Amino acid sequence: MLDAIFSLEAIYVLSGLVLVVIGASTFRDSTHPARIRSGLFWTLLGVVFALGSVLPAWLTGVLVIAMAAVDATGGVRSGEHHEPSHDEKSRSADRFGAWLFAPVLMIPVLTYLSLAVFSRLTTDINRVVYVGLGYASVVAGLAAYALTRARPAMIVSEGRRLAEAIGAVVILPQLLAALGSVFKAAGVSEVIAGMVASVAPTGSVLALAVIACVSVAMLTFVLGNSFGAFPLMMTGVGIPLLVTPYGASPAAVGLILLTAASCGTLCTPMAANFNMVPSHLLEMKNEYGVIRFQAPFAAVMLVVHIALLWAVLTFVG
Amino acid sequence: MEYLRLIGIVVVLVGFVLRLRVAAVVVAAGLITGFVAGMPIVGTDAAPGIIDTLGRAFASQRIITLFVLALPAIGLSERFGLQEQARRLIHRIRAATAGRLQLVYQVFRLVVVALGIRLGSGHVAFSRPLVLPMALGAAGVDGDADDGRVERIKAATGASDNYGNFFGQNLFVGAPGIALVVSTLKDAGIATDPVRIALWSIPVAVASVLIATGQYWLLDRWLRSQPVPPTADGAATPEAD
Repeated sequence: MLDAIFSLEAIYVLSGLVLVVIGASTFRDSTHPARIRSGLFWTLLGVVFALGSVLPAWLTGVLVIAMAAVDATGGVRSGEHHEPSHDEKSRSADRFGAWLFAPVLMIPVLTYLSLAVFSRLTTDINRVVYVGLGYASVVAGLAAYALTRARPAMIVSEGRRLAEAIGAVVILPQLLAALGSVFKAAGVSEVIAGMVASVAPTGSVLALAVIACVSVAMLTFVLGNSFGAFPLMMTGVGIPLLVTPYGASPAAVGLILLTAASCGTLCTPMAANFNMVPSHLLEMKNEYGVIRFQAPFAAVMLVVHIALLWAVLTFVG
Repeated sequence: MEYLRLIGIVVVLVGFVLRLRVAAVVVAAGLITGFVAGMPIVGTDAAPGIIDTLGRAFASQRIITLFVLALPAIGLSERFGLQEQARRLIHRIRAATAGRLQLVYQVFRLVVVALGIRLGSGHVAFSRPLVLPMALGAAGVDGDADDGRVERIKAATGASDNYGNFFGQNLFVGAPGIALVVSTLKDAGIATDPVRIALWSIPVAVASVLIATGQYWLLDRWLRSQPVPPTADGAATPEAD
């Protein structure tokens, strides 16, 4: 029983419930510009969340395609939310003071506490982190409710306001991970690693460093995930062209190629959870705004990686 | 023709460039790639099909989207003045600028992940509820105003979390990235020590902080150079001192 309550499955079901409630509240919102389609989207997502482990995979696939189809019609929109005026918020801030930080800060603090307490009981750290995070979020919601003594309906309407601010982009991280699986099953990455290895020059150390770092960053740009790109480029390029012929430290080459890949992550809309969800979460006008800010940083960082790799090949090996 | 398998990448890139609805583009790329590679539409246990591969991967990646559970807590706190309170807090620190705040947050995030603490999305837990209002407050900018500075500060707020997270996490010996390097090398018959891999991330982490410092310095300089638009209710008037 306790094992079931403190399982990832329970957290998925809770998240699913939140999403279904958001969907139901959208269906009932007569002022919403697209209440049926938006309500359908959040409800479908809630169903996939709550039942994703028991539904047959093909049915989940059909529901995912249905969500994408609803989004394609432009049906996932934001409703009317009557935000309090600046004065009201200011008066409210006077009233609650620094206590307003308490619920929000509970999320990281309780997650860390659960990690500190429960990580000795199990080797499954992922489970501890995400179960902790899930319950910390619920406790924080209840704490915010108790502190502000808001109407219960406000828990739903405020959650919905933020969910709608993010919009259909909310499914993008999972969807891109799913696309990565299809790419993997279809052997896409092997084709790319083979292409790079066949054109790489073998004479110039600097040229090799450039090719290795740039290609792993570019594959990450395409896949949206450094963990997908790294093993392929390390096995296909790093080991045969750098480690074996130059005797370079495998630890150094490995780490440098891994974070060179992260430079690609900073530039790609495919890394939706890092680049696209935040721009929606921060309610930016340009959804590519975060990427645009990060791109020059990523370019300089990539040059640093190339220089570091060149130094490793030249001096350390 | 094996290059034909790359068609999904072309579909995604064209979709992004034309700014089509991303979810539909991604699904289309998956379907087309699967067809070209000769995968069945619905597969069996032995031979996975396109639609069940999509569904299975989507369900197994639900962890990425767990942050929806935190939205009610944040939304409710915001409604009762969270951002206003964050702004007041930062106004008491006279040396604070939008750029320096991003640097402080980035280093904080870097230290947290370097200790091996993963707390889910930093954007949800910190950036939206705390870092953004503090940075807007430090710059004396009204977040609701139609002001180019708001957009730039938001972009920096999205970026500072990624910078700290990406280039700090591998300082932790038990990080998933280090494990990935170890297992990839092991598959190639090379044994290596995770501590040696983690040591190589020190120069990378240092470089990330230095380069970001330069970028935030440029951000502050740009913010100062912008004309201050008239504020709606005087709430965002910069401190005069």
